[in-house]
Amino acid sequence: MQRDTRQRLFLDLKNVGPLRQIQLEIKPGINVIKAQNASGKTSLVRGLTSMFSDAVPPAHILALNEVQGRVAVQYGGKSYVKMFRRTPSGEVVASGPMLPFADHRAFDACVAMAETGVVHKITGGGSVFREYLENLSYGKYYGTVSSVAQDLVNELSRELASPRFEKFEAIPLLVTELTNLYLKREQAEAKIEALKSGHQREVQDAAKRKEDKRSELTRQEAMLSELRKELTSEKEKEKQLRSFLEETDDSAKVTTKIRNGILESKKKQERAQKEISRESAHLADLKDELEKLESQYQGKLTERVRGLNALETEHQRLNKAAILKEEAIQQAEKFPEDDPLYGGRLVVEVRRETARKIEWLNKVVEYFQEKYMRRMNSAKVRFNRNINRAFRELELKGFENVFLDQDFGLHVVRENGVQQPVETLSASEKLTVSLILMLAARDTFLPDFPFFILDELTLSYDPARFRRVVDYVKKRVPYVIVTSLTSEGTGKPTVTYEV
Amino acid sequence: MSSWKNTFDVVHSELELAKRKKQALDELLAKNRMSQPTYEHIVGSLNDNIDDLESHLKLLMQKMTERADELESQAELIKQFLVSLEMRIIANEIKQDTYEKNKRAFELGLKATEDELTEIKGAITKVI
Repeated sequence: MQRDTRQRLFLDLKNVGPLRQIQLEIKPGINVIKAQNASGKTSLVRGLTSMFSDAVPPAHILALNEVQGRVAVQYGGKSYVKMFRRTPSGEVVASGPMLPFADHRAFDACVAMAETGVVHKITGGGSVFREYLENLSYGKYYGTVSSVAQDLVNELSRELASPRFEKFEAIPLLVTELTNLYLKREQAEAKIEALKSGHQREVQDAAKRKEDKRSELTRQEAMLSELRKELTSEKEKEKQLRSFLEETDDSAKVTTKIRNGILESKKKQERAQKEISRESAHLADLKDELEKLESQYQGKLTERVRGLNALETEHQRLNKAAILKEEAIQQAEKFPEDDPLYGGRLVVEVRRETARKIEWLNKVVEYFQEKYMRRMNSAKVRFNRNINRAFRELELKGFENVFLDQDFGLHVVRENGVQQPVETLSASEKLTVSLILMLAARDTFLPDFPFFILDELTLSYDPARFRRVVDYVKKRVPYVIVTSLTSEGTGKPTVTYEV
Repeated sequence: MSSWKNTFDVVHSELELAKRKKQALDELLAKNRMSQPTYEHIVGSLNDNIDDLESHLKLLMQKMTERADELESQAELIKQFLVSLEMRIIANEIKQDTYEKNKRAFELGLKATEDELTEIKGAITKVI
């Protein structure tokens, strides 16, 4: 006859911890697993835990001297088998399906073992539960996405600030330097132009002076020619008068007139002669001066402008420097062809793309941080509410309140209203607070998870308080598994049931 | 005035340099020494800088124009004081030494006012 598996759960373990082979039935209600020390109670719990969570490493489950082991569970008419195998390198690997309600968070909320999880944390004096709530509320995922996005933002920002982009960032400075070179070059050009036009003016002035002198010389020559004509004419006149004088009689009147005329003509000839001598000397001076001016003009025409060489050299130097600067700017705007990431691309485009990525990632960071905060705050409020309910229902003496503050720090308030640091609580009080937190976590995050496991926590508790805890759990969880130490029995764990 | 003038001169020369830088960028673009995207990236911030400097200069010009108007009124007033002083000495209302002392003070004030006015107008003309 087939067994009814709808309510019950059958556990079959092979080579788990010190257990060679064991089969147990877990019934709805309280299942108390009793055994002596080192007989496999905790291994049994670990084996069962491996079917709904991977929190326990496979190496902690498989028997030390075995290469293969197995945990099989029959539940809801189906069989789930997980195999444990030791590889040649000594590593233990697990394979096989989990139970349908498997949830990795269940280990933190529903498995109370002395050496792991919340109990271990609190007994060790731990008092900040941010990570605990992050795991249970999935806030960790939002936090992780946000953190990864922030890491990418940082990485991209570092990339933008890396030496690869330095040359591009220096372009405004290079443009300023280039502008200064242009300005200096323009100044040099203006000076060269001024020198050249000054020289041109000097040449023109020399030419004008030369032409003026030549005109003066021409005028002088004409004047001299007139004087010579005048002299010749007077000589002719004298000659004529003398011939008249020879032909005339001694009529006093005519002779006197002719002789006066001859005297007058002689005086004019003397004056003309003097003027010719003077003007001839002047003409000679003019010729000398013209010759000098011609020489000056020719000298000016052929001479190199003073200071022009130095200016032209400076201009060439500035021009060369400007070209080099232009080339530097041209090189700075592109990545080198051999750049492994952006070879030959324009830096400004890569910068723009990176900036867009950063902008988008910042939005992701903001979005997921907000999600994280909302989820964590909501989780904390619900968690504190469930802590309060568990605390009230368990009617634990000595405490007034237990809660998490805004930074997820645990506060324990005693009956007199005094806050007590977690590390100063007694062992049983730490255990109580741990269980309250786990029960609140279960109620908050895993209200439908069917197991709650208490592994050997009875040692620190008086029976009445332990009973209240177990009854509280029993009201909420279908399967409560409690391990308990006993000095009786065969050495193999046995189960007793309380429905 | 000198601090205003210094600021004015600094802003003016910075503006001239910024405009020349823009010209240099235009030349680089025209010579294919710089791509259009890089040009737009650099010229964008340069244009912002030019706009800021122009606004600053405009504000300074406005203040200097106001100050010039104020100085013109002040010079006019001092001239009236001088005329009044001349009339009072003619009418024997004041002693000679008081007249000379006041006249000297008014003339010094007028000169300082006119010097400042000339300086401001010179600076304004430079920009216009």
